[in-house]
Amino acid sequence: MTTLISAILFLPLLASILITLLTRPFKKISATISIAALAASFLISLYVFYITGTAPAKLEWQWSLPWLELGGLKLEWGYLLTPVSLVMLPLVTGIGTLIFIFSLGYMQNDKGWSRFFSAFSFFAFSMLGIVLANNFFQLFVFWELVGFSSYLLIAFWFEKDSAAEAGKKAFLVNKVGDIFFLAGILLLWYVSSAEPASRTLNFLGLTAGLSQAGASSAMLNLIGFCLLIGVIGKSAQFPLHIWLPDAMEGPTPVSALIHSATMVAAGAYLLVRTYFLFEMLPLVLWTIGLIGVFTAVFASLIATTQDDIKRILAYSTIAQLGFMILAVGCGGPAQAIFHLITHACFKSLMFLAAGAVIHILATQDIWKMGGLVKKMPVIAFLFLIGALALSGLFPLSGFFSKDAILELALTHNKLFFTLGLIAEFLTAFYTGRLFTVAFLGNRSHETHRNPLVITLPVAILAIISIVAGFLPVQNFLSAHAAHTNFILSLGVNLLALAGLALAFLLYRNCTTSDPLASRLGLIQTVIKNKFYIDEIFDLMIVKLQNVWCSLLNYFEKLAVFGISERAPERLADKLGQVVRVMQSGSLAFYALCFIAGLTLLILMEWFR
Amino acid sequence: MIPPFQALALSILLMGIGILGVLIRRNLIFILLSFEIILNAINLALVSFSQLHGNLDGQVIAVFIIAIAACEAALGLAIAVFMFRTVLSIRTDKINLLKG
Repeated sequence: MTTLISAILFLPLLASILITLLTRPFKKISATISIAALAASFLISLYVFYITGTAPAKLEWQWSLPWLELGGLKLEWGYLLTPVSLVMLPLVTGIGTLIFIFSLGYMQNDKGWSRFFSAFSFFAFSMLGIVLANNFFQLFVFWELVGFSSYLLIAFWFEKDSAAEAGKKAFLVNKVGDIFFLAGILLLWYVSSAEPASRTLNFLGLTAGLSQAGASSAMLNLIGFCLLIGVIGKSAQFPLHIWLPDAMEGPTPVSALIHSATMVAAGAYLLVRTYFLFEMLPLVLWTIGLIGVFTAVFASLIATTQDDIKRILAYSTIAQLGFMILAVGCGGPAQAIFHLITHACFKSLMFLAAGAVIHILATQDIWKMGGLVKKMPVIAFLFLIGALALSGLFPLSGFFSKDAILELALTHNKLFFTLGLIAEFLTAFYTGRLFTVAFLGNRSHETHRNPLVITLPVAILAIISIVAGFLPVQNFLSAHAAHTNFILSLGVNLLALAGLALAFLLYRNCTTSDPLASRLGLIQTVIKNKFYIDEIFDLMIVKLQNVWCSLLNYFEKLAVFGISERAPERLADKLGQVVRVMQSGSLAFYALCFIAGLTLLILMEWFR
Repeated sequence: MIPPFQALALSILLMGIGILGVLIRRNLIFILLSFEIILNAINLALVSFSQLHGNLDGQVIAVFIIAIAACEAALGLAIAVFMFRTVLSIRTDKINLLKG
């Protein structure tokens, strides 16, 4: 079993290394290695799923290798398989394989072909590392690696300034979250046990021992908040969501895999993995729920005003991640993972379909699209499936997962439930807007057929999006049975239909610009500019920082420089001036010195 | 015989003139000339000391000094010629290339 898991984890890494070192000039071989490795990982994870079939909810398989021991700090390398990770493995590898195949068509003429597949494989390795890690330290290492892979891939077309800037921004914003995450990990280690010798970072060890460790409630809450900030950074929640829309500068397969299905879901995954800690902290859970639902509403609102298809999908991802986080905050990690799975399917479906459109039309502006349902019917239909799943219509998968979350919120916190409903309505609205403007209408374009490598993965994802709702994920993940509230389900469906219908009616005949822009005026401008959050950050961080740095620079020139460099400089100068008098250059003066010295010597001799 | 006291007094006077000449003169030839005066003053002093002591030691040294003075004069004039070729003047205040 250990070898199987190691194979799942290391095959993509091996592919990445091989491509980087050996096969860079050979495009076909690079792609084959990359796809084969990930497909193999997928098959192995299916096999693992199969052989652990019995009593999955109780599964807790761990393998660990002690790695480093430094005076009480014991670091280990290991794998932990619980139902959650068992479910995530085929998800990451399966969707990854489909997206890799898509990239064969999408990245066709790109000169960075091998670099792309190498970085993508490396990302797969890092993500699988997060899924399989059995202790906080290893998780953190892979967490950072995922951020690094994301940076490589966002800034893939690095000759473009905006792409390079976006990569930098993603990495830095992630880093803010990561610093708090690390602080949380260290604090957790410190309080994990009453005796210093048995402190641990192991998940199972902590689950068992944390409640007896005698840590103060304040400390545990602090740790919870620190870990939460790490999640906010990685999963692009408010206020650290600013990197995700900019991350759309990367190629569409990157957006599909990393920024909708896997990496950003790592935050939700962390919350679920460490739920044993959050269970004990009601205040932190409430904050988690609040941030989740607030982000959902916030991002959905912004998504209704954007013009770039990928940006709309990016804000949609942020909002759906908010739903996942909301689920955890309301005490339902199983529901969160369920939504993670369905979201991964239909969001990557939508991204890939959008990618197919972008590949053909070479534009990302929805107002330049339109009428695509005539020219690209297959893609349009598949995108529609994704859109309906996103809106949460029965019987597509999105309905089941979202309904589960809303049901949880209903019993847990009425405010969260109301905001969740608002977010749901807005989701349906912007999805309808996107589909109506981009696909319906009467425009005609120059198009050619998409190659099969592009259409097939999209089709497969669409099929999965339809059936995934019927998978007994919740029963698999937790001991509680999922109950359904039919009135709520009906209500949610009607709400979604209302949102879609409203969008359809509003945007049916608009082909060039948004009619709401003129009607709502200032509000529309504020929302469209993303509530100026980026500008606020710029002001706070960049400008203030510049002022502070100029101050420090002046101080350094004055004091530090002055003392250590200018003062000896001036001293040497003055001394030199004194001695310089002797070098008059005049022969007579030299002769005088001669004679005076000689006279002095004689006198000394005479008086002795 | 010239009384030694007077010879020594002359020697001191000549020495003084010579030293002053070296220090004050700006013409290189005159500096060399003054330097010869110094050497001659020394010779005079040595010879009168020889007379005082009644042996020939002083005169022997004086002969040495005459020979050395001749060599030194030759060298000095050679340097003067080179200096003139460089600076195109024999005034010592024109040599200030080493002024720092």
